[in-house]
Amino acid sequence: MSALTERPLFKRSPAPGAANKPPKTLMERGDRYLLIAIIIGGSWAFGVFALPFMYLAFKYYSRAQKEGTLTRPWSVTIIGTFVLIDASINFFGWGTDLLWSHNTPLMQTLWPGYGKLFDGAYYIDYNSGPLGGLSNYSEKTLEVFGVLAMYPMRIASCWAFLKMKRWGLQGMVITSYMYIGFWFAYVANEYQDFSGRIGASAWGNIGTWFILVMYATPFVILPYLYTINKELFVDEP
Amino acid sequence: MSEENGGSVEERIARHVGRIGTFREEMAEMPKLQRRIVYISMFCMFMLFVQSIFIMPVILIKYGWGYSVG
Repeated sequence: MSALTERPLFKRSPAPGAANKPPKTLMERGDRYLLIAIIIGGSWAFGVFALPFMYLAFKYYSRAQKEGTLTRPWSVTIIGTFVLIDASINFFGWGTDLLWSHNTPLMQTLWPGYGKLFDGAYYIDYNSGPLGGLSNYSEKTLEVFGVLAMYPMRIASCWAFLKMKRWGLQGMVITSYMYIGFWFAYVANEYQDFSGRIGASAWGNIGTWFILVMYATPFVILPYLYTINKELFVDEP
Repeated sequence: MSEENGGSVEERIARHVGRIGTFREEMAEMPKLQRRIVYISMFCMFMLFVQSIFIMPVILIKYGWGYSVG
């Protein structure tokens, strides 16, 4: 027994063999399709192919609710999905600009195209910096921080939040505060370099704020995270 | 081990939460602040999905395939 919690340290029985695994519940199947939709949608380049998986996830959740086997409130699913798609776009999608994939024709279509629509930093001197991809240093710094640190933390926390784990709820709060700092840094960077970024895009300020508002997840969800009944989330690893 | 802590994670959650109703039922029972946050989240989530799905087609239609700067 753990001295701190007075509970067994290892509560779950040892992982059973594949043959002994119980069949997946409808909600678990829905979660699987939701995750697939989130990853494909988050890639941006293949976003269209996420549609059938989104539909399947919703269908399975609805069936689970009708059968009475849905164990997660709809509000948790909605908040979790909102955070997960945001983090996924920024982790998987933005990661394609950070990693070697920025040399592929697909990414050289996506990112300079995005740059021309929303943010000039993504097409001016593209692939000419030391790390490749976008070459604006301040944007690159945030990209490295976001893709390698904050968004993986947020995805892990969000998945645990969807599994109704207490640490998932706590992780969502922590990463929301990190995200607030990140968001303000992003806005400050964009406006200091206005002529080379917002001013060099087709949709200017309107396009920029369309992006900034849609990605302002922490401002929206923090009051929810603080007011939700924490007892709903189990204290499990 | 107490009764409260027994069973799988899913069973414990089910005991805590009880039966989940429809989305409308759940919204009707929620406090106003949380309900508004859920609606705003739904709108933003929808917009993010729209963005994910349509960004690549829009770029391809507007600028075509490949590195097009000029």
